[in-house]
Amino acid sequence: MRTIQIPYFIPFVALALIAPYYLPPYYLYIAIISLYYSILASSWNLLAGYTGQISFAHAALSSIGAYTSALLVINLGIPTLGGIVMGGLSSFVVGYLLGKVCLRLRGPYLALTTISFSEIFRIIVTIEYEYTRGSLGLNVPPLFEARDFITYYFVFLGLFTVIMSIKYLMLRSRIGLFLRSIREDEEASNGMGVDTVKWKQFAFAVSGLFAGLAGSFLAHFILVVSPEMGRLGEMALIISMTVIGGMGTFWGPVIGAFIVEFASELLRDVGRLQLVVFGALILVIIRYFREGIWGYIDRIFRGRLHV
Amino acid sequence: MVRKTAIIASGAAVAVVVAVAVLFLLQSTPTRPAEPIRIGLVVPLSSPGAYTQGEEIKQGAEIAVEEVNAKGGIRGRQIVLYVEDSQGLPEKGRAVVEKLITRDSVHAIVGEYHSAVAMAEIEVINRYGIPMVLASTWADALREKEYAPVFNVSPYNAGNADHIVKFLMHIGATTVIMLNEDTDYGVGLAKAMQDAIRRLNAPIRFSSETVERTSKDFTPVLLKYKTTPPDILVTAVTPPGGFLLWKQAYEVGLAPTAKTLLYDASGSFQRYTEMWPAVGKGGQYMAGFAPYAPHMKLTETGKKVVETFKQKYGREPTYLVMQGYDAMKAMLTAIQTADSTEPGKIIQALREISFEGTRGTIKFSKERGVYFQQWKEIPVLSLQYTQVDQSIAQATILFPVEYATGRLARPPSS
Amino acid sequence: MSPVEFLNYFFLQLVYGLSLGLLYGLMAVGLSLIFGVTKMINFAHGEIYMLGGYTYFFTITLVGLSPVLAMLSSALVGILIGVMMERYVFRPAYNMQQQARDEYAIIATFGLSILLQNLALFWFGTAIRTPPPIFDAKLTFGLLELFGDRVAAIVISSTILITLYLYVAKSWTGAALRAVSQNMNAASILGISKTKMNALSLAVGGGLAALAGALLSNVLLVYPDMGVIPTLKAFVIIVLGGMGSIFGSLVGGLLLGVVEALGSTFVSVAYRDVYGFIVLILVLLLKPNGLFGELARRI
Repeated sequence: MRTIQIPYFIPFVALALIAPYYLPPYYLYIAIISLYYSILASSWNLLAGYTGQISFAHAALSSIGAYTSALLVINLGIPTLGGIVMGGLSSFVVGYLLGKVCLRLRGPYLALTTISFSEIFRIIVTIEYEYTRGSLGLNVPPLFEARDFITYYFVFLGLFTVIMSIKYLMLRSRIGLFLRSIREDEEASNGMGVDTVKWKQFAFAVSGLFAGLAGSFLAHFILVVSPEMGRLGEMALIISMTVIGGMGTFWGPVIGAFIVEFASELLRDVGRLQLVVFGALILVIIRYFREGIWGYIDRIFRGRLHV
Repeated sequence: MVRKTAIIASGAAVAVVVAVAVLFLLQSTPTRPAEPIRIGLVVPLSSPGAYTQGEEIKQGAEIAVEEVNAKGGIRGRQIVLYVEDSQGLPEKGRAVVEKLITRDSVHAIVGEYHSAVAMAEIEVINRYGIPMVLASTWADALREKEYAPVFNVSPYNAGNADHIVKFLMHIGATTVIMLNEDTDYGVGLAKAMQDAIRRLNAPIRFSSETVERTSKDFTPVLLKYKTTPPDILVTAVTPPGGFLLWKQAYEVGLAPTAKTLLYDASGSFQRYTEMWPAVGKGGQYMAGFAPYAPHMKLTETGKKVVETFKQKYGREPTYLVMQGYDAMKAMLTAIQTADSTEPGKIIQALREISFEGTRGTIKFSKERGVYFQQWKEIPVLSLQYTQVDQSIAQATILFPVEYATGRLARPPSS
Repeated sequence: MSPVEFLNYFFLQLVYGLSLGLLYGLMAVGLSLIFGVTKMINFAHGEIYMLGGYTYFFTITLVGLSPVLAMLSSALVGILIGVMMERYVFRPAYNMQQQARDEYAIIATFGLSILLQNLALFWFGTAIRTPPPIFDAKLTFGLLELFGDRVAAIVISSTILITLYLYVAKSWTGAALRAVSQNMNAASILGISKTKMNALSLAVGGGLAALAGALLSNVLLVYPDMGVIPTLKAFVIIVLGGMGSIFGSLVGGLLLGVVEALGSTFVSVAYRDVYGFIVLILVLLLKPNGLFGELARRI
């Protein structure tokens, strides 16, 4: 795996640092949401794009993190940052257990199990109204009393940077090789001595951790947690973003997240047609451009950007 | 000599007259157009929001704005509407309200249909202190928050529960089973019903059960109650679940029967074009709750709104159009009374005004709790279909008595 | 409730539960057939069901066809969609390795389902449609009261399922289908066209789904996301019964009906849809290839 060319990054980093001061609050808000989805899509990509486990439970894991944090902070009064850490941990644990359950399952069975899990969670949260306020949504204390978006932007940017860095280091090391070998051909990989069991569980747990952290941060930003966060429609969005951006590529999900999120905001009047377009894009891209938009850009630069 | 004086005098007179005329003309022509009044309208206009309903609220609000603008606006200032789509998602609702306030600098905001979204929106409203009149959000929690800038002209679960319980007492029902959907609306209504029964000391044995809104099969729970059928089955499930529930209640033989009446607390039985093909004979004798009926007594304002709407769109307005109108009218009346677009002054005006809405005089209560800044006396109705394929305008209004057009009909005992 | 009342209640629960299970079985069989032959899962199955429902509704109300012709046109639409899916969505994946193929199938058909659902939403709107019933009457068997259309749907779907089973078990084409599902490459060496068999399975699967949509359109109503729940139920059924087995789908359908009835009676009605999911997870934990697991090789 080639090194990232640092010079290419400078304009983007500069943009990321300066933008919040010049963007109108509304667009800054959208940027923060895009960062949330970038983290979510990237972590799903780790599980699906790199390790080949197409899980439909990712949105639910984010939701679990959010509810854990919210309920702990509201009912036990722990500081919000503590709640967020617990949120991440709970998703880590659930992700790990889910991974254990799904160990022997391949392709479609894995998908179905994770769908079932996601639906069970959503239904329970909705019905146990007494504890979770159901679909009305749970009101959550903010991370910072100050409501300016710039602070929150940098928080999310920070989380994004940390998670992407961890991912980079992981994928650059042997771990990355192991995970990718599992996606390519699990049996062969096993035969070559890779402990597929351990690494699959690892992928589930770590992607769960990232999703839970993202979800918890989001909860304390938008101040409402509802079962909507974990519904299959959210999953569709995450899959769209990852596939369109480039499944199995490092920056693909990030690009996909920003494109899809900004597009859906700017094309609001077009409404339902948006999703028709996303569906069509998924079909076309998974068939002809398996590495998505990022893969295409990468090809233009003749592989020099490949991470 | 006389001639010279005369010329000078008449010249001076002409000059004075001309000067006065010019000054007069200069004064009555404005040198700049007056700054418009900017009002944000937040409604669901796309999926997953209820966009048909959102569209109707928008139509009602637009009628109110056009009415005022046609008369020259408020003190010469035209009203400009900034319409935004909250999509039925709380975070989108937050985002658009934030945008309206910070980017578009609106002076006030009106609208919303989904309570869960409104919950998120009023947080932003409260932070900035911009006045908001909610058009059609029923959750009690929105009022109980007691946010100073937030006002409500729509029906509210506690008030509806009150009405329904009074109706049950009126028809002498003593055993009541309620099936509510697993949303905040459904569960909230069930709780409100229990509270109302207690508060009104109603002689009713009440029991409720939560069902999944997206389910296609309600026969298990319906069969459960068939063994000891109640006097009335109250449902709070929106379509498509609601339609399936009534269809299956009829199939299973639970309701409507001579012993057990069927009552729709969700108001969706008003969607008669969709309901009759789906529910068929099960809909005959069905009673239900409606915040409005075309044949109910309206105020002069209300009648005018109906006329205007019919001219514009060629059909009868639904209650959402009326809600949209009332909400916008409240805001415009307040701005007019306050003679200012300063948020604090508008809010103060909203608390004091009393004006004719579409169905009665609107005044916001100062009581605490669920009545806070709510139009407490909003009329709501119970109606009943007596024949298959009736439109809502042909249904009998049963309650409150002052609006009634007929008496309760029971299915014949088989 | 007295013991007698309870038994009656349970019996009625069972019958309604079973009737719905059978109806979903029709969907499951199509899905199972597609998976058994092409080895790829079809997440867009529910949308074919939905389009079948809309076709039935529009051919009856706008075109004025009789119910029988309307059903046939629904089935035709389903078959057409199936064939097109084979050509444009499934065929590119035949030469992929199994894992890549699984992944491709999941994502591509998922994307297709998003596309179709929202297209339907865009074209048809959210209003709920109901075609007129075929039998506008209730049938009573002692304590049991059922809508005529529900009975008709049960009878018709049972007939179709049995016919299908016999056809696949006894006919030459059936044998070809079974051959392809057992070993695609060996079958093609023997001269059986893998493409033709895949197309056949998708055509039949699609036709069945659309037909189910038409049959149930009056009983369960027609709206853009009507296919979401039947798809999920169908998945539960084929996992229970074993993917690729028609007989398994029948058994799975009945099993699901029973599980839901039991859960609703003894635990809670509100969690009705959850029981099937829980059973699915439990079954997969113990038998990762479904209850009738490797037997799935036999259709």
